[in-house]
Amino acid sequence: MTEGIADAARGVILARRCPGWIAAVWAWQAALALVVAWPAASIVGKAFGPDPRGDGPLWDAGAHSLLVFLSRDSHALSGVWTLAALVLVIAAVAGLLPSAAIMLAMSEAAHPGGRRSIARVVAGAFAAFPALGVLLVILGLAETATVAVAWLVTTCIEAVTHDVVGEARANVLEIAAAIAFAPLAAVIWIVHDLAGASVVRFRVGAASAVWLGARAFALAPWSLCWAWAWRTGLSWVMIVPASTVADAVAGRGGAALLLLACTHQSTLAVRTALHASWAARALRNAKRSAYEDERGPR
Amino acid sequence: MPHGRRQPDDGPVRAERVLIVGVLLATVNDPRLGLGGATAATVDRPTANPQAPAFGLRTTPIASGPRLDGSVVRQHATEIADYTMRATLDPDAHTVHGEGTIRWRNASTQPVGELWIHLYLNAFKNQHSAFLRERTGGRGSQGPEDWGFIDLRRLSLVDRTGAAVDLLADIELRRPGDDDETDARVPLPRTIGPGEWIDLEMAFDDKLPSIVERTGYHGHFHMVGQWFPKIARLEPDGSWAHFPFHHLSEFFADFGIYDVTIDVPASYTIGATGPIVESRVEHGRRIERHRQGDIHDFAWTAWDAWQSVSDRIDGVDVRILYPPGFTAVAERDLEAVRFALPYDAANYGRYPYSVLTVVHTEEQASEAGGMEYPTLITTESPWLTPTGVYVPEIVTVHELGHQWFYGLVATNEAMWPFLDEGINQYAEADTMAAWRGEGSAVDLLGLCVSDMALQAVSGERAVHDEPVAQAAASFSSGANYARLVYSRTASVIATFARVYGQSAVRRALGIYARRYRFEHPGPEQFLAVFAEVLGADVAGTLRSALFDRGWVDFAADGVWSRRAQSAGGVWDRDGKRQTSAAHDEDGWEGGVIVRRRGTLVFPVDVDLVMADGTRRRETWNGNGDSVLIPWRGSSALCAAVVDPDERVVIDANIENNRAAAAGEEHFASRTLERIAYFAQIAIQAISP
Repeated sequence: MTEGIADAARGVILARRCPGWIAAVWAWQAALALVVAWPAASIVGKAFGPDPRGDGPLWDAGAHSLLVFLSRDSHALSGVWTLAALVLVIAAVAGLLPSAAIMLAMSEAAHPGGRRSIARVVAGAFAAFPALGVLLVILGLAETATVAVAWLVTTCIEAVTHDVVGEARANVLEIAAAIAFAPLAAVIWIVHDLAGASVVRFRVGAASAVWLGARAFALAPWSLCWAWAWRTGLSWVMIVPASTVADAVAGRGGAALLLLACTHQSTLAVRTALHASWAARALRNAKRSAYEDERGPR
Repeated sequence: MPHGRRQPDDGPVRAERVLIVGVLLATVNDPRLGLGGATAATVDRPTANPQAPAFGLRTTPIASGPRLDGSVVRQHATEIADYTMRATLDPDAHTVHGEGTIRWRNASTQPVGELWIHLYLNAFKNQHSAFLRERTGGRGSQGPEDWGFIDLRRLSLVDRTGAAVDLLADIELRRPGDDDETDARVPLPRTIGPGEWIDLEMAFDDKLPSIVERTGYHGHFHMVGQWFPKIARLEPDGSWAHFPFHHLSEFFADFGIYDVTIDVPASYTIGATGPIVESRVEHGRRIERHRQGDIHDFAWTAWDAWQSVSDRIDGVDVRILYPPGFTAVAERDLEAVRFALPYDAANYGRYPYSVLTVVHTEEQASEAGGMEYPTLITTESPWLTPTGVYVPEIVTVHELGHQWFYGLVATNEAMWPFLDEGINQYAEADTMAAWRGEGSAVDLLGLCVSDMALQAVSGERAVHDEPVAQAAASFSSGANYARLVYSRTASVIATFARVYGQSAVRRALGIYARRYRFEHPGPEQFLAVFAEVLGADVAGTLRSALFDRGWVDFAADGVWSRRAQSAGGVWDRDGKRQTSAAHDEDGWEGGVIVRRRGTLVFPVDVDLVMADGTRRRETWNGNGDSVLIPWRGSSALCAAVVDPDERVVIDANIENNRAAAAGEEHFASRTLERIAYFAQIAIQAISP
């Protein structure tokens, strides 16, 4: 806490200075999720709406109603799946704007009296959008290449070792090899985020941003990896207690359902905040990277 | 480290045993079963093999089998085909050299002048075999990468003087215009009279295929099934129940004693039907002799990597053979046997053999997994199968159930596959439900999926395509075979169990399994037992469901409700004409129309749900196309639910089982909440 106050006094970029923007990003994602969920709920409503428990039978233990629904209404549900895929693409591409906006807002909020108007933040986000889009493509290609290489390596390992050590041990080696690629995939993601922060912070193009991001990572690899890993890990771990509540609530409605919704949305909001916290960290390191770059090598 | 012993007072197991004992007591005390005056069972053992020792049967003293219906339960099969063989494995060439004798008796009422012998390994000899021609999807559809076949080197009839008469010269391996060599006709030099025994000498060489459809090799792993010349079953009327190895078909044979000596490299571990009666290692070879009576097939496996875990369960020596690294799933297999063996024995009669071997295959050899042979079953699942996904348990429980519905009740699997696979599928789902409750197939991350729900949905997909009760080779596709033979049969029986009572159906299956133990019943015997226990009408419904594509769809078709009103109109009373207007009275009136579509009739519950939350349950006997259920009460009728407890598992559409009055329909709020939540997690994961 003391360190946090000192950071604020020095004008350090912090996510907690922008709770409104965090809420806005959460709301944007919630709205997109509703675009998927509403048609699905409508289809369920047509099938189970007349039931006194509404869609409660769908969530009963044994899953008979759920299986029947998935089997009988598969044609209607295929439209929902298509919509879901479309929404995910939109979330990835259009999501660059709220991502850029929250980074801009956090950067400006770090300066005393430096808050920008919403309009200017939005305008800045649009300005950063092309470079962030290119970074997104580069990220996609790099991660795809990593997965492809990992698949090739693990397949070869399994094929070579299966007859020697048996299926189970070969699979363990396969999994170990796959896990070995996880740090590379994580580093690519971190460098991408650092590059994105550089785009927002210094209005550079994608190529310069990648260079700045890589340089920022090289300056503090372990602390950046830790900063990214604990936030990412925590955001996934948080899903467990939320699932436990869902288990307890099961197919009930009313207050229990309200409790479940509040638990779920609180979890999602905290996850959004953790992501913003990481973005703030990326902005801080991107700044340092640019500073070192200006001064040149000592 | 694997270890098989579990403390006898272990909590869950103890609870399960208490349950089983309760079921047994309830069954035994049921006066309808006629158990009170039971007398000692007779042993139907022929005199042809007077040297009969234990034959792998349990030697613990047992007074007699349960007599559910007052009749005698057979303790042994009637011996008809005894095999004494020696098999030598060359694991590098993947060949088995076999030789030995068959002692066979004409158990029919007619003299026979020919034998039919199944050479089922020839199913994998070339692409013109019936098996490979008929590939219609499902297991075995990819065919072997390496061909397999059986060459009969010697087949001779030993005459009364001890001289051998060659039969190979006249053997007819193929029919004209058909290259299939799995069903051979062997003319005999003389007719064999009813009741007469003959001895055949034989020698043969197997080339095992790469693993395909229950048999073959994968690396050093060898699963040796359908590997020897096997005499088809001669029906009592003198007709032969012989057939080629069809793609979707399994097997049918007579009972007998199998005495098989298996010879493999010393580094190999053997798993085989029946107990080991001799074992030695000499000249770098492991030689094991297995001997088992009262069975109708023999399979074995040999691998230099097998690991094992053993336990004694319900008086049976159970051994799990599993690949290295599969310790956890092997323990799950064993746990499944710990529950299912006593449970099945309580329901269908005691397991009569002293041993049970469970072979857990690798995923790359999974075509060998999930198969039943007498006292030996194969199971499968990845070694990393998550706890809560009950694949190893389900496969093990299923194959174990076949020890009754195939092994002991030895129906013709080629002609009536629903009698073994279908009934056993029900037994599997019933056992899993008794063991694991509603999450009997999956119980993971809050998702509970029952085995029977999966069967219901699968079976419904093909119900109008073709009948359940038909020969395996008659099914149009492997998918339909699975949906109808397995899933539809199971969900039909489950419907009877839920509608007419679990105990009644359990009693019917128990009588059927005990009455026809060591016999070869057909569908009529099965239906007759249902008629005996549940009545002719119910058995008729069962027949329709199995033979006539019978189906049913209950539907709630409109709920209405309004303020109760006095009757208005023109009335002629006491010589006077009076006119009165209808006016509101206290309370509400209304009703619901319930329809039954389809050909099957079941009684069904209907819940009427009032605005104040109260419910009233009515039962409709299901006769007729529809029924109007009237209602009058103090609160408005807002909805009706047909079959609220989902007893009619085969209801073609449970989504139309609900109806609500105007304005009483609900929004799918739970669905909206949960899908939005998971969608939002996905969006967060993919967002930059």
